Amino acid sequence: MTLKYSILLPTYNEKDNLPVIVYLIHKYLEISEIKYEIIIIDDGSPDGTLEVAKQLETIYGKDKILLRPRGKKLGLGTAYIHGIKHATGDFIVIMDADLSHHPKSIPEFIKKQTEQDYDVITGSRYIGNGGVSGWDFKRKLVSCGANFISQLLLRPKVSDLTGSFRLYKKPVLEKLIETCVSKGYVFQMEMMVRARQLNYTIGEVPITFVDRVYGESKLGGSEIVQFVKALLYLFATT
Amino acid sequence: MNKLSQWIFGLNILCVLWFSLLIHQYDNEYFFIIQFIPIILLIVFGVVSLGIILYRVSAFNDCKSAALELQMEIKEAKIALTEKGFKFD
Repeated sequence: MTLKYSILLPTYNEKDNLPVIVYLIHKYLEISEIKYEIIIIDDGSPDGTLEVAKQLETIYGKDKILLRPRGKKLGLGTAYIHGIKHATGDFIVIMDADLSHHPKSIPEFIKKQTEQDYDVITGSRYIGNGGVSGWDFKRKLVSCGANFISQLLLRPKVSDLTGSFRLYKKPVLEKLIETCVSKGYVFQMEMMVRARQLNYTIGEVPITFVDRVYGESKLGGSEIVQFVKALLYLFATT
Repeated sequence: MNKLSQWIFGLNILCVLWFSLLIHQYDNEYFFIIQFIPIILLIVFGVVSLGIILYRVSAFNDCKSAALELQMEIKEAKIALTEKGFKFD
């Protein structure tokens, strides 16, 4: 029996990035002979992301590209729930559709997962050949500082808590989403903390994070406030 | 026990140790230093943390080649997709 991987791509205004990411996923998974499907969850992007997705569906076929759009912007956590419902794979890969995560890492995730039958594989910018591109000193400082504080307070035994390039066994992801309470991008951090709490095994693979090629990067004051709140919440409850 | 309780527990032990030093070593010639142990520890902790963070920032891989490779692949993708009938606007 060959295993199947469902890749969830939540999108919002990614019409430039979406065709490229789909092309790259196809390129790297096809040569590795990996069975996959891409589930595109578009939250009513006004820029025409859905039209782009429809073109891709015609090119790559309805068995490879599944369009599961939603009417309006409803957030990342619910996008995953929505996507999982339609996923037919044994494993779920979640990644950003903005090209900051490179699909070439997916075969590495899969290889790592099979080594020790891990429940979760997470990409890490902080280990081995991993890293970032296009970040200035301030951005690196904020990232390393936030990571240091979260390591100190939560001791998650995962080097990159806020990364969102991961592979999950499908039932594990379902269980984790059910357990997590936070919204937005801090949800990624809670997923790892809960995974440890539930004694799931987690493997790490180095990834390179290339900052957004098209569109705006999102790190503002409100993200930092959200992060601190989530950190304190997890610190006091887990 | 959650992480907060673990920290409170640990800090309590340290406080008890420090108080017992304060009470029993008042004639010690280093009493002046003993008084300020919490502040000294806090400063050491801050400096060490800052050192670790700055070291990690400087050691943070800057993947310029990954960015260049991606740019090449974006071009490749656009050519390949156009051949397959994809319309970019």
